[in-house]
Amino acid sequence: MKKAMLILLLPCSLLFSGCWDVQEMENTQYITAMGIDLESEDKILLSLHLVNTEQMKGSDQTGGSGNGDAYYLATAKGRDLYDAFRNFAKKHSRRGDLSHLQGIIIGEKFATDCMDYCLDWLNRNRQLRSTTSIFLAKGSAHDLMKVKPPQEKLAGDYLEGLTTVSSAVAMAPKVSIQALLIALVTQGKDAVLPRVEKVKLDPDGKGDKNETLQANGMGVFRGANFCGFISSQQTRGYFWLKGGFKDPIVLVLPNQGRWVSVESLKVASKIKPKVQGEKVSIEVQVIASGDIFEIRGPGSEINDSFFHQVGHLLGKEIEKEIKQTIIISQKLDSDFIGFGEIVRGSVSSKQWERINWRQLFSQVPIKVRVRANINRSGVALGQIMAW
Amino acid sequence: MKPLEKIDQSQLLLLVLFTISATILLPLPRVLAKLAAESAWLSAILGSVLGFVGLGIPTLFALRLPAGSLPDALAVLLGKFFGKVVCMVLALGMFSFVPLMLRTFGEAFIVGMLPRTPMAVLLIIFLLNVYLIAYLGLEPLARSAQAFAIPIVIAFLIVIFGSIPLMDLQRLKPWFPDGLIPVIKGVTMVAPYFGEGAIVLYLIPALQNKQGVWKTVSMASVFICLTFTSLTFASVATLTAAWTASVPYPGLRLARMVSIGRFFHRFEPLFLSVWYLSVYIKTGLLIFLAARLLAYVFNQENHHLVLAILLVVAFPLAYLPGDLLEVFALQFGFARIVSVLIGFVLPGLLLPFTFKGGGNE
Repeated sequence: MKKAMLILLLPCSLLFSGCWDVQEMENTQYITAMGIDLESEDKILLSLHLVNTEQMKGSDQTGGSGNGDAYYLATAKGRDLYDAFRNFAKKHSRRGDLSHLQGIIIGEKFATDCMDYCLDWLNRNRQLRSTTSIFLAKGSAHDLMKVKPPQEKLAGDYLEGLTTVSSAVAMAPKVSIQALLIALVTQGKDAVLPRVEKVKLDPDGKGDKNETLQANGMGVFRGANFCGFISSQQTRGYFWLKGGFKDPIVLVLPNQGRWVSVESLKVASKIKPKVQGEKVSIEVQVIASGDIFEIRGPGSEINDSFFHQVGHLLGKEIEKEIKQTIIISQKLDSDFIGFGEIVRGSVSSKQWERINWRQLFSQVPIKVRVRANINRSGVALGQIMAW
Repeated sequence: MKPLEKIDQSQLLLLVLFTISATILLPLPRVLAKLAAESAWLSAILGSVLGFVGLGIPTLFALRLPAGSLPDALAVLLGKFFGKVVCMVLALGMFSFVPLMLRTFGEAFIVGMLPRTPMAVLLIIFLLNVYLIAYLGLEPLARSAQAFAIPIVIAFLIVIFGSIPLMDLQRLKPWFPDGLIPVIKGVTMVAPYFGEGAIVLYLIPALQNKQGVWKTVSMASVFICLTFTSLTFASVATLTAAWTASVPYPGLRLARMVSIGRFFHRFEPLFLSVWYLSVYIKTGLLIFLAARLLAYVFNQENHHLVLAILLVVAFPLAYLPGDLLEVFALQFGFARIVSVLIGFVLPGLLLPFTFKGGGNE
């Protein structure tokens, strides 16, 4: 009987061998970067970086020429993102695959007018990795997709590296699909995207080879609509409160006339809301510490009081940056720092509805207090001076 | 009846754990987040505590049954006819979960991993495997549960611990945004599924040693509570309550988000494959118990023929719900009621009979 059972199970192996969801590599067109633009009211332009698999072969392998570009740009249009992606198949003999997508650049017009379309597609798409990075272009995403950064073989790789490095130095946030979706569905919080733009590697240089992409500040949203860009300097205020950076450098100017660069390593922030009826006030407390990174210009001896002085100035500098960011946030009426989320966490649903955060936010008084100190001064104590 | 197969306490624990948690685990955080929003995880804890109290009813009943297998004990307790009636009710109750589980299994695989594969193929392969394990009997089922427990637990822990870096505890606030009522509503979505623990009615008489049964059942309940609560907690703290309430299987979404370094991404196919094992054990056990009880009712020497008939019947029944939303509606409606009926109400009604002539505890 047991033998009969085993015979019964044999057809299973036949069924497993032919899988309906199989996708052969040689029939797949891998996409590493995607640009999304709104061309007209009902026309979406998708720009795709498609991997040229023949060019990706190593020099030790035979068959690939290896001299051409590792990828090429292709476009497709449609009523919505899925329609555009399907239309991509019209000019390709292989099925497009998004599982290796490393970066999505969203055009400014699309972000302003119809980000909602994108959200559902990002949430529902099975192939996309939720860790894929998203960027916001100033202007058209298609223009940026034409740039071939010379730093990496694939622009997708470059974009992924760019967002990691720029967030580490607090120049632009790193935002993945999942982070964007979470920010957009969280009540009392608005989304941000890193701003990406075209720049010249060498200001005097010419030609395509001299062009690359840089992350610079961020674009902020109000609900699902883009409402403004803020510079990388102003973005630092966001980082002081939200964390996520590794080594932002702050320049401070102590009273002896020296420039001191401080690398701030540890920052802890606390946002305390005070809700009385429908009135809300917020107090932000930040504790920061840093290391002296560079001292420019001669001055008195480097001692305890110098450390205290620089620490105090560091606190003032951070406070100034945070306040600047909060002012912009209230001016744009976009709570991208997420004060509302914390207020919501401290009240009932009914009270939250009564507060009407969307309307109230721009008028909420927000107090900022920063305490900072200097821990050490790198591998040197005093300044070294030429005699 | 065939001589009673024997299992031990650890096998009982695993069988109870898999039976109660396997199918409900993936969609539960969604339902709780929909009802109790940020407090969903509190509903999971309170529901599990209440469910454990409910699970005490079939456990106590099983412990007080006369010696022998469940059908024999019921015949002694209630007489042959009423014993068979109770066996019939239990068998039909247990079998009624099977088509729904088949469909849940098929839908989860299609949603999470194999969108183009026809569901019939998935179900036929699954049913063949289920037939094999249920055919072999209780002991192989219990041993399989032991063998599969380690990969199942590891996969689950990877999802929970892997989502810790993505969690934000602020997303769990406010704790009671709309008071206690939504939390209580959530409790009513968790506790009834402990009624699927009616399997203890058959399993406790099959224990080699009945000492420490309460401890085993308590431990199983604690593990179920931890499973439900941790997954709901992780889902809401990672995805937010609003997003958790909008995805069919939050557990799968979490598995998709888990990312360790630059080499470990998209864990959902592996998680789903391991989840399959727990559903396999549960389906195998329920259909085995239903077949054994029906074989007794219809005076069959063994359960093999009844088992084959039940599996053939279960296959078309799995297609009864028109779409995924109907599957969820049945899972959180029909299955919940049947769980309460066979897990709490029926043993509760029969319990006084065991006190009449002195119990076996």
